[in-house]
Amino acid sequence: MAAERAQSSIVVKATRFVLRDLLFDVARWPLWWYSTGTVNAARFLRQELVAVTDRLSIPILFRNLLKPMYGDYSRSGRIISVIMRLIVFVFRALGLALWTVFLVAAFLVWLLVIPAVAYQLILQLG
Amino acid sequence: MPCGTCRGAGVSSWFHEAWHLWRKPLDRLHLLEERLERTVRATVDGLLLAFGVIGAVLGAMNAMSIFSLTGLSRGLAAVPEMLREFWEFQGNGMLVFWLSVLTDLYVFYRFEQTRLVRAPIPAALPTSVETPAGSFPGLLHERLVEVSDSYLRPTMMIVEQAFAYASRRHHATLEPEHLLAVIGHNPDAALVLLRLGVTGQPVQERLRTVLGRIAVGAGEPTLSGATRAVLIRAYELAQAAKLLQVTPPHLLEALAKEPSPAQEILFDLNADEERVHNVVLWALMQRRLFHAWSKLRLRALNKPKSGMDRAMTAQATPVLDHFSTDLTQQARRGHLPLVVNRERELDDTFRVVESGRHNVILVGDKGVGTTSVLQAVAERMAAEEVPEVLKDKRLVQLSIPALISGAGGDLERRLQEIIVEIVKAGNIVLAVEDIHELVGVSSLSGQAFDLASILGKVLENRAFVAFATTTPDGYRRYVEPSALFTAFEKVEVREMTSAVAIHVLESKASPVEARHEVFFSYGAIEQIVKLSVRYIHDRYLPEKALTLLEEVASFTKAAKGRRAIVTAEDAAAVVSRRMNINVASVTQSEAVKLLNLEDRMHERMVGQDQAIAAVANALRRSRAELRDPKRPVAIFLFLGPTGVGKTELAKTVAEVYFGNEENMIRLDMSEYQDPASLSRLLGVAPGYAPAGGGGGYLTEAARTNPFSLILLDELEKAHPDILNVFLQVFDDGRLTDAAGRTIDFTNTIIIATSNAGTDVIQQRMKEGQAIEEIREELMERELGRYFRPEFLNRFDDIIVFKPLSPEEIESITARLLKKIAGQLEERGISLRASPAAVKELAAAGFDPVFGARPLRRVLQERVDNALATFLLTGKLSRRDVAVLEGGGVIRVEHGPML
Repeated sequence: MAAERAQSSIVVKATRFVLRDLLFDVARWPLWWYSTGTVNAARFLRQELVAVTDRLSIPILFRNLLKPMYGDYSRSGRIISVIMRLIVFVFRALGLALWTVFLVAAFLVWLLVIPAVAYQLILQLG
Repeated sequence: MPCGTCRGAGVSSWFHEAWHLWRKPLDRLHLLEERLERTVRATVDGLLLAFGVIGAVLGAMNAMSIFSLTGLSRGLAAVPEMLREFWEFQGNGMLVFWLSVLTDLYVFYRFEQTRLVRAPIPAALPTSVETPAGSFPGLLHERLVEVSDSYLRPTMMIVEQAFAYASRRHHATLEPEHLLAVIGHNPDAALVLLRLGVTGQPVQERLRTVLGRIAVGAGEPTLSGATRAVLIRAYELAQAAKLLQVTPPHLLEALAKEPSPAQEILFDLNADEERVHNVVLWALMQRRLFHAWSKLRLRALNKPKSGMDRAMTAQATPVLDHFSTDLTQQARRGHLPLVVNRERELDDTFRVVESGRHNVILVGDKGVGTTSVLQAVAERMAAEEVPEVLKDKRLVQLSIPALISGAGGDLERRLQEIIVEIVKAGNIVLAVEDIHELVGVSSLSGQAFDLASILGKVLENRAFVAFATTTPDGYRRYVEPSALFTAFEKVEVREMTSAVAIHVLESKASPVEARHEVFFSYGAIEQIVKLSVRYIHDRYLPEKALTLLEEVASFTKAAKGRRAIVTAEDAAAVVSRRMNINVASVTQSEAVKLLNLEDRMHERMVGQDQAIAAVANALRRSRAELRDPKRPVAIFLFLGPTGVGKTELAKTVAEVYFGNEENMIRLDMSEYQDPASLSRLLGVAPGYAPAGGGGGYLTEAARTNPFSLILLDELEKAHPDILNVFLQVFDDGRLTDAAGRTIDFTNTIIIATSNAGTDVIQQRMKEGQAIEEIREELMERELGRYFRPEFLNRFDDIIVFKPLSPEEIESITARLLKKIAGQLEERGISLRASPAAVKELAAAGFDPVFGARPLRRVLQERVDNALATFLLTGKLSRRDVAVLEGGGVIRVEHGPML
């Protein structure tokens, strides 16, 4: 009797597990992708941009644009250093721009990947 | 509280405005089910991953074929076209590829989900709310928290293992003891148990006993009320520790908090609630420290490796570099030690810097951690977590010895050059340790400016930011009168409390453990701090405790070998050896010794029962730590005629209390009859000292050997000024010598002897007065002539020695004769004394004025001399017996010839 009940309860529970934990989970996945997942991806994008900006010392470079390099306060020193800093600034800004493009592209991929694959599946099946 | 209505939950607890309970069923079926679920989940993940790999391989193959067709000849320009072709490519397994991309995305989602905490523990409410009146309202109550949801997987595994353990033994209930029995399988909990010293045989034995008492039942074990209470308590503890889930250490802590046999076992093994809590905190702190440290490391990577700042405005500083070390660089490379518990000093320091006052001088005694604060500043600067003024700068520490040595006449110029470099570079924050050493240093004699004034002037103009350290003494004596005083803002670094020092030691224990391959128990750490506070008075926390930590580790490794656990006893043993005293906790055998102090003293002393009792009581009080720790252990005044045993009792005390009668500093106070002799006692000020040092006799002796008995003979003969010095020692337990050092007397026993009032004692004794009355009379009249009342009041006890009675003299005589017999015994000769001979010798050796003092001389003359003659003339040889008889006759009984 007890064994029978236990058996039936196992069957009920197994069914519930498959329904709830496997099927329901699959259904919930796209929802997560476009809510929490997207927020996380955007947050990662922002953190990465801030970190790279800091790593390239861009704000510091910008603040010190007119300050002579290596403490050389002579007239020629000032001119050379402004030119130097502008060149460095341009290169680093370019690097930052490239990185930004890459990150934004990656974010777009995140947004589009599920519809794109769905389209492909239809295409391949059809 | 137990509840009847909460169906199956059994126990619930109200805290933080919610009912907490454990409803999760624990039985074989459920456990099996859960294991199945986990297996199914893992299998699904595995299958999905495998599918992903197959798809990726197919996709890659197709991409390769497209590339070989279109891309090979045209290079990069073909990339967009190739992508388009790949996108439009059909058949040949592409369906599988695209499906696999989809499953990969799904697997990513699944992994993200497992990283999430399922039911995070909410933050604890600031105030605890009273339990609502009445019993548990039932399962329909709106505020119910199922604590098992917030159990971390490894914690849940402990509960499951406990269940399996209980059911293997067919126990009817799952008790906290089962949890304790299996909790050691978890490495985190095992670490805590190890630190607590709750391991091995003692635990197993106790567990066996309590597990044997649990009733055996037919079915599966059910959760007992006590276990539910423990499980709920673990949740509450994790919540208090601001954790999101219940960790194994918190389950262990809950076992120590909820009453049960398991708790009894823990308490029995000295792991009480507080200790368990502290060790759990320790484990938690190590993890948090590591996270904080990794974060700093990561951020420090942005700091430039060279001396250049990130704005590229700095200049090279070759002269400065030669005489300094770059602390920020060291921090960047992770070479500086971990600094903990310095938030207050750091906040103070940064506040000064932010307020625009620029320069900070950290004032603290050697060892309290001024250097650590500098290092912490360097760590923060490397990670740029500092006020704006300090950002993108280097913290460079100038070495004064390097600067001064070999400079010849160029000292001032050298410093000027360095200052110019710092100003020009603009990215340098100067750090100078022991800045008082700059005061008065100048290469030209008679020069008005020393290095301190040069630096002081520059700093006053706020040319750059500087940090300095000094000691309170250095600050008072050198910095305050110098030009540095106005340039710097003072931040005090005070000695930390024992509790904080324990935290610091815990944070520094790991590297020491790794180096010496030993493991510290919490008891050892606690003991090290406690003993260093009690016995090392000339140094400060945490340095003195850290030195001891290192010593204890190497001692334990030498004594017990690798991988040994350092216990509190090991720490005590190291201190005992170093200080030459007995600091081990009062063990059973020592307790017996203390209780039998009188007997031990009587072994050496004859008579003077009252004096011995008074001294023994005072020593017991001190050993049981009922004394004032700021005064000497005990202060006695022994009164009585000469030769009654005053000095002998002092020697006995030295032997019993300090382990050796040699641990005695003896001062004949008759040598200190004029005020000028004070310098012999305390030393002479530096500059006036004769060649060979000017340390005082008393202060030097007490400084080098702080655990001794100080015997002040014939105290009444000392000059009143000298007595005033001792008044301070009696009161505060310390004395400042002429060199300005504070000498600690709190571990000494001071015994003063005096003959003052001897005639009164003898007179009253003859009249048959009680000792107590004689003492009163002496206190009221006789002693007042020599000592002021406030001086007499400082003694713990004034003990009157009574003159020795004829019987006592006789027993002393017998005792001394026994000693001589012992010497003869080595030569195989026996010595026997007839009662008549003892009586005669005693009578001859006793003097009404000198007490028993002449006795030794009498014995020398009448016994030793005669025996020596006998030995030399061969009248006495091995196996003979010398018999002392009345009338000074020594008879020899010859032994059998061989």
